[in-house]
Amino acid sequence: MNIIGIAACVAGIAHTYIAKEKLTKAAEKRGHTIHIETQGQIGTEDELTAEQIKISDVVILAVDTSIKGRDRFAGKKIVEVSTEVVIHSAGNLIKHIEENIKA
Amino acid sequence: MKNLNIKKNLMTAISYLIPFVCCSGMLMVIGNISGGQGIKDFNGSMSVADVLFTLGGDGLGLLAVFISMFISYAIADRAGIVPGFLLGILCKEYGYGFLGGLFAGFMTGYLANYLKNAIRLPAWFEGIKPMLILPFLTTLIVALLMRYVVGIPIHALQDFIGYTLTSMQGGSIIVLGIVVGILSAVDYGGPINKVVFVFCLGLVSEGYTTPMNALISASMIAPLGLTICYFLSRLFKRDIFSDEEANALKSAFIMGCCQITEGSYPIILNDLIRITICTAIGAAVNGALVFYWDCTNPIVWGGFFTLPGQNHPGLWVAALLIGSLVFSIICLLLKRKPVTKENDDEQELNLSNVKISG
Repeated sequence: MNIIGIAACVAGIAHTYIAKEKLTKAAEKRGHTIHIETQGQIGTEDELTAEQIKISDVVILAVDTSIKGRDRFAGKKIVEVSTEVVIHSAGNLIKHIEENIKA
Repeated sequence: MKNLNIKKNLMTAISYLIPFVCCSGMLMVIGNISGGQGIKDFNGSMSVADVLFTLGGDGLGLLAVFISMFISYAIADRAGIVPGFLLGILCKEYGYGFLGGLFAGFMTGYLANYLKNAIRLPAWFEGIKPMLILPFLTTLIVALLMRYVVGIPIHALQDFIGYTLTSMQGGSIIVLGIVVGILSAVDYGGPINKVVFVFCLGLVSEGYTTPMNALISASMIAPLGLTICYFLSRLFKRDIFSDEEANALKSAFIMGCCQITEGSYPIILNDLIRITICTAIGAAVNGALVFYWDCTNPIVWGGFFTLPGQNHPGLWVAALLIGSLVFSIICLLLKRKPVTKENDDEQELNLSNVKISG
């Protein structure tokens, strides 16, 4: 699958980036391509391109705060969780998504 | 209620608030170290230190304004800024304080959002809506509500909290310290910690700085405790840290000194339950001591950077070290060396936390 997503936590300095790393590792291990945008205290980094969004099968939002640019994902399948879920069980989340979303 | 997203909006506001609090706090610290004072009469002379201290102090005095505006903005986007700001000023001036700011922010945010969708105007008149109608109506309605309805119980609640805190003595103070300590530390800078942070911030703006002071040191227990535990483990030849953990510990320690607990995550996650037991006990001890010794400090964030603001720097550090030592001793007994394997032993996915839409 082509997975995209956003990670954002409250302080925006640690959980955001751990969530990104966990998601990326878990998804790549299971053979998916994944791009995660981070919205931390420093601002938006690794912003998703229009092309990445267009070809994506599912959007994972690992967010504890309201995020910028949610409207970009209109019509997409969106999975929304807290950063904590991703940090503790990214692999199981990806598995769950595989089972429930047909690419 | 669910789609009001109260928690997410509050967390967004806190996210904006943190740099503001750090920046004002740091100005105050530097001003304080260099002997500055808060200046009220700007006609007289003013040293650089006075400028810094006054700027930081006045900045922190605006907490109610900022929390109200940020919450309102998180909920209603642009339409929330002006009413949130004006209501925040009302809260500051009329003494509704930080607590009032919280309420005002939610009220203006939701109302602005509602009016944004509810008011329909002919196209040629649409421009006047965001310019005048939305901010004016929202501010007017919420201001009157605040002044004549909501403000009354808020005042009462504030007096009650203030009275309870000042009249607490002995045992109950220590219990409060234990509760604040545990709740601040137990999820390592996660949402529970942030809720306690909001609570403590409210108390700081009312002049009670001990709870926040306990939160500051409790947040540092895990990284400092892990560091002490590492050295103890070398001393007692207990092989409980993997090489990756020892490596991660360096940055965890530095970040911990600045009150960023998250640096310890790589180690904590290897053994979440055992280490959290250590954290809870260590933080409880620390919280109890900070309250017992009545350590106060006007700076609301910054780990060791708060030292210049501490009324009893020695005792505060002692509370921190004792808490960390308790942590490290329990950790030394409980912790196991992580087994390096392809880790599929992550936590079970709680499906109620997963929301799929679209």
